[in-house]
Amino acid sequence: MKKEEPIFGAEPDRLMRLMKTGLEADEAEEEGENAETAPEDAPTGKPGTRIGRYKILSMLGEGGMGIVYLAEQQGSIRRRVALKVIKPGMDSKRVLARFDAERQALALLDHPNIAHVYDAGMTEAGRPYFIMEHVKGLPVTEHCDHYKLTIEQRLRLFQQICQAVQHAHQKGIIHRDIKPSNILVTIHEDQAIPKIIDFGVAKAVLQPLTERTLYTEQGQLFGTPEYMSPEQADMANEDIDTRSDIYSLGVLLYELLTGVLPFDSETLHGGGIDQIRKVICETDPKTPSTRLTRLGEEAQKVAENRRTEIGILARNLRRELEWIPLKAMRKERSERYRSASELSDDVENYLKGDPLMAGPLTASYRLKKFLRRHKALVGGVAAVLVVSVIGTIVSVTFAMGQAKEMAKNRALANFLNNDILIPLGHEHFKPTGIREVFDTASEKLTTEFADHPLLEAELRYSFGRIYGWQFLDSEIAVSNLKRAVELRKREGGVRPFGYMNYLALSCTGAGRYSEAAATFSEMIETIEKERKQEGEKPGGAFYYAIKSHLGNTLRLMGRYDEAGPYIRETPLHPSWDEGHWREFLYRGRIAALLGDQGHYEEAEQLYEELLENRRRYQDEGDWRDYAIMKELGVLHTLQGDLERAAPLLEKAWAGIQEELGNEHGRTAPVGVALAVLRTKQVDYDSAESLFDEVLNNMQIRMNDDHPELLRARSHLGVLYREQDRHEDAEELLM
Amino acid sequence: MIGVLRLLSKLRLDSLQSQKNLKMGYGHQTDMGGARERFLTTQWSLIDNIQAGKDEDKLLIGFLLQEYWKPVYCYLRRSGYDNEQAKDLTQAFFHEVVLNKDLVGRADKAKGRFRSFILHALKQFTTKQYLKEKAQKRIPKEKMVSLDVDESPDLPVSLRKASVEESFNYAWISAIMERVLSLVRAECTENGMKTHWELFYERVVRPLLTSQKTPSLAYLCQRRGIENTQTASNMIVTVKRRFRAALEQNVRRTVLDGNQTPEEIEELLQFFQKSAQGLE
Repeated sequence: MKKEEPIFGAEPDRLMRLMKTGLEADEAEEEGENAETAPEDAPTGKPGTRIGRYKILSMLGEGGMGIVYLAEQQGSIRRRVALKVIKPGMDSKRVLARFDAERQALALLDHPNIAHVYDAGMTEAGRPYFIMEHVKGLPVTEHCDHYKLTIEQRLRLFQQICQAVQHAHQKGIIHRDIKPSNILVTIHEDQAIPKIIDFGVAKAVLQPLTERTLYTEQGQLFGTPEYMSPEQADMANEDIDTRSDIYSLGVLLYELLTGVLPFDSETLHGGGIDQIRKVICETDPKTPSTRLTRLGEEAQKVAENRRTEIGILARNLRRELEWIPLKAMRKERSERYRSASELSDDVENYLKGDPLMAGPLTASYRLKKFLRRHKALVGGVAAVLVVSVIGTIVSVTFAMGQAKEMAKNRALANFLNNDILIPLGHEHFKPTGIREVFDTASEKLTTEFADHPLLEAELRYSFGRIYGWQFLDSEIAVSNLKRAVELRKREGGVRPFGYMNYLALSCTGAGRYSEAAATFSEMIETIEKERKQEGEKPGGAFYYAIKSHLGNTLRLMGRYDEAGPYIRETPLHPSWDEGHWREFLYRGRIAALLGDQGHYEEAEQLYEELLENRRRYQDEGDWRDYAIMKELGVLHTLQGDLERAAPLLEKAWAGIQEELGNEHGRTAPVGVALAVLRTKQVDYDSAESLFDEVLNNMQIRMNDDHPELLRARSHLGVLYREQDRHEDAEELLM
Repeated sequence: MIGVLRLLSKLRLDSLQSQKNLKMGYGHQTDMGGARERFLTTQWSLIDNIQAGKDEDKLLIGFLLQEYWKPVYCYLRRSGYDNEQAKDLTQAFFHEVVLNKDLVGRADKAKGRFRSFILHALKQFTTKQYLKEKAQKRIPKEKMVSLDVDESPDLPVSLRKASVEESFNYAWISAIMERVLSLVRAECTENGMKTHWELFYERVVRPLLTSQKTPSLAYLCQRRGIENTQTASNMIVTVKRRFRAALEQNVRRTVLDGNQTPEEIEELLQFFQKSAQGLE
């Protein structure tokens, strides 16, 4: 290199230029026009010259048609602007018209994320120029990497860009060259503001210009291949619409998320225009998550620039996020987002945790999102309730598997979404509200799924369980389950034993003992018949469970002799460990039977054994212990041993209330037992108030003819008679 | 007293630090944060106790002389003094600035801008006609920090008839530009970016300083065996960025409050515009 020039002694204006150049350091060096000639020799653009009332400071860049300078407005308002002027030699009528169209288009736009057009004019040489907002900043992709913005931050920036594009579309303007270098991000008061510049190839929809001729004349491709939509690349197609911009936005999003382009430059620029067309129009882009995991070392850098780790990024993309850019980039225009604001909305959906428009139309997808989102919001008892309710529905849909019939799945998804999930979301998890949601939804079940009976059956089963377990309403549970069983039987196929079992148990809970017994018997008969046909003996846990249930039901009906064999048989086929709760259930029934038959001592002994066994396996008491205590208490009461009865019943009453609450079906019997004791203890007032409380709760839940309710009433009647309140007693028994 | 001395300490520290940073290849970081504040405080108390002849003020004076002698010298030359007189007075002036507590009162007028302060102080200095003899009477010449000037710097032709203030400002600015260019050059060289520097110089600096044509990127690439013009362009942009950073930093060093930097730059540019317009 030659010796450097001395600074001191150089003419002031040259130092000034050096200083100014130094201060405007972020403009790229470009070869520009014929660079053998220094900028000073160009007809315009010599730093220091003026165009109109703007003084040229330096050159910012160059496009197909025009050159962009940094200029300073002279006069009372001094500001830096971007001045775009047509290149010399490009002033054919057509190009001039196009230039003017651009100016007019931009003048229509008024959006914080689009560079403003301030003014326009003509140079002395007769070349048009216009004055735009000078946007100082980095291209959006560089900005994001430089400041290492997280995915969320990038998405927020992207949304602003979408809104700007939407604005332009609403004014009838398609950009057609959306790419990072056309979107600069400035920082104003600590806020990052992306701005779209250079609508140079924008086409005002209102003014059709002959695109085709421009192609062949110039032999150039307008637009940037990496971001070009299939319809743009396919030059035979003159019909470009706003969805072309959506495509480019998709590519941009792809890049912001992954750091790579869907079709990289190497692939595209291999073999000329035909190659470009082929790739863009025919090849499917690899999914972002796949691209990312195949990047190798570069992947590390990508993750760093987003302040995350590759594994996490890839997982988030795969789960859902990548659906958004991919939907925007569909080859078929009609499959893309319909507008830039729809695209922005889906990004918002992602950020809020809502299901994406770009997501699959399955029920399981929507449910998963609901669960994930609401788990975070809820707490306390309501949470348990909701999660278990949702869980029941989830199991239904999973049991159905990935439904092969789209229509079915869609119907289910919509129903669940619109009739259950969304209303639930609004109810803020008040228990009463939830019940109403289900009540309303139940009413729709038959009509919504008239074409899909099996679906209705599944849902009715779910609802039945929900009503039984959560809302403690056995009657409604029964009606749902009956319908479920009916539908399944009608449609044929495998016998719905699961449904029937649950139906029968619910009938028991509702006091409909004979229906329960009938259902249990039906199941037992069917199993035995089938085994016989297969030449085998009936057996298995399910078989014995049903038998025990049947026995219990018979016992409740007072048919002790018939009940006996069923109840006694089951525990002889243990497939569980001692202390397991099923032991309590089955052996407890033996004890109950004994008690009912008047074999008090044996019953007591058995109960006490059970209680002790349970204590061996768990320290704290739970409702089953209290149930046993209650039985013992009742037995003692019957035998007149009030002193032994009292502590057991008091403890059981306190405990079960706390654990299950006053409305639970298992709580009431304990209260009744205690009230009976109190009657015997001649503590009439206390007994009466307890009866009133318990009966109140029972009457809400149960039908008037529920055996338990009748029994409780009769005990109250006894109390009245003890008090010589014979009229009250008669009323009760009516 | 505190204001200007704080400035001086800041300048000195910045200079030392940037030289240190340069050696370590860190570019132009001049913030040390808390440590620097503490150091400044310590400097204040040192300075407050200054008496003529102590070591610390010698360092300060030496620093000032080294960095800013030219503008002062030019001012004095334009004021009518010959080469030798101007040199002596430059020395004397800087000694005065550090030691004379009266002058410091003027610092507030300058509002933290060192260049303005020096200019005002100079005006004071010359209008009060501190003649050579008086200066020498105060501080014996042997005890002064010496000013070694090889050549008498000549103002450019266009400024031969300029005012004292214009001469001062011109020398000030050119000193900054010189400093910035040599810093960036040194940094490039130290970091193995010699070609970067050369590209930048040939493509940006030289054409601006002379009336020569801007060489094309293609030509430069060919000369230096660079593969494509995009690479060359990027290299140049890299250096441009450092150049700007260095320029801003060097101006910032001369203001007490960093927020005044744009103002100061504006003023400097305006000076240029006046002279530039005067010529065109």
